[in-house]
Amino acid sequence: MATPSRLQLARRRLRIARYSIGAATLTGFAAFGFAVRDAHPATHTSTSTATTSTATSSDDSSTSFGGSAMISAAPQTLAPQVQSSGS
Amino acid sequence: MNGFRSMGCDVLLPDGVPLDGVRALFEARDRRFSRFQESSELNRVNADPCGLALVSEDFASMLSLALDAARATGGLVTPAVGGAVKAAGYDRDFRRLPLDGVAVEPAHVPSWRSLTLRGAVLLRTEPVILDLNGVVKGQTVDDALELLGHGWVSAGGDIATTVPLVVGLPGGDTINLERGGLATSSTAMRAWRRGGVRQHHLIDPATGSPSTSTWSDVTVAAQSSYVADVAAKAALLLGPAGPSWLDRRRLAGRFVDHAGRVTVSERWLQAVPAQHAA
Repeated sequence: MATPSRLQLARRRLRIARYSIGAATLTGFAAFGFAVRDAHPATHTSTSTATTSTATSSDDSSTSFGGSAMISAAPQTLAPQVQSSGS
Repeated sequence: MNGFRSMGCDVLLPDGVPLDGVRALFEARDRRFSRFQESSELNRVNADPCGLALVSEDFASMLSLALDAARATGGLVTPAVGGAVKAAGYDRDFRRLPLDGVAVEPAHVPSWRSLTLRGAVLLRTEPVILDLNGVVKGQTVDDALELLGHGWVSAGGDIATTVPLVVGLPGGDTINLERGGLATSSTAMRAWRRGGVRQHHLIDPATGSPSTSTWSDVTVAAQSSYVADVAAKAALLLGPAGPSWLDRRRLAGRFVDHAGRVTVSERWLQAVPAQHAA
């Protein structure tokens, strides 16, 4: 088996160095992203009472959106207090 | 009547209830989620519609609810519909919208699955113009009622209550909403023309155009105004399959077609038998 030339050895070292730089850059970018997220003021302050959840790709569930309000017939003599006329 | 105007509709509360806290909540939500306020967070996110975006916690919460709605409705009620709403001509506050204009073409509605939310980081794997109006109003009505603690809140057809309330419905019927949420989705309201063709704000994601549903108005009673609003939109978009879709979810729904005929779901019929006129 032929011994690699000095040029081939240099190219191999260059390739390894490029991979290392790429991996370090990706790691640094991810760490930076999480740091920015943690530092973002909106991450710590909120007036919302809505719930936060992580999006998943589960399918439609026929039971996840149920649960009716309590409704009944209104006495004919009573005028509507509010209108649900659509939007 | 005790109320104010926000999000393009009248917000009403019982007489004597202080408006300040509820008004502040509605105005804050409107500033963040309006398509028509240039400085809104929604417009900032939509300005770069692909890739990563860092969003506020309020924005993430509302988007999370919108993704829940998309999941629960099989993608019918989706936050990815913003581009199609705009393509249909709804590009400014409704009161400033020209009644007619140049003809419009349907727009592609990206899949809601191209949106991934992890905490405050939003990833869009294809260009998506978001429109969260499918959930913002209903959820804000629920949050306003929570802020009040007791009573009722109504905003443009979306209602949440802890006390019995007589509610007027499209076509003239009334019901007693004892507690929970009620919402009506309608193609009769917020309509305009482009190229002489009637347009409205309820986009069918399958076509990218305003829905051609058999129903003009769908009212749903649910545990909250948010769920009622989303379910009413989905049931309207489903057309003839709407009543059975609600029945499978044990939701009460009332449907009015373009001729004014009323159909009700099984649960509605059980609660309000006199109004069955299918």
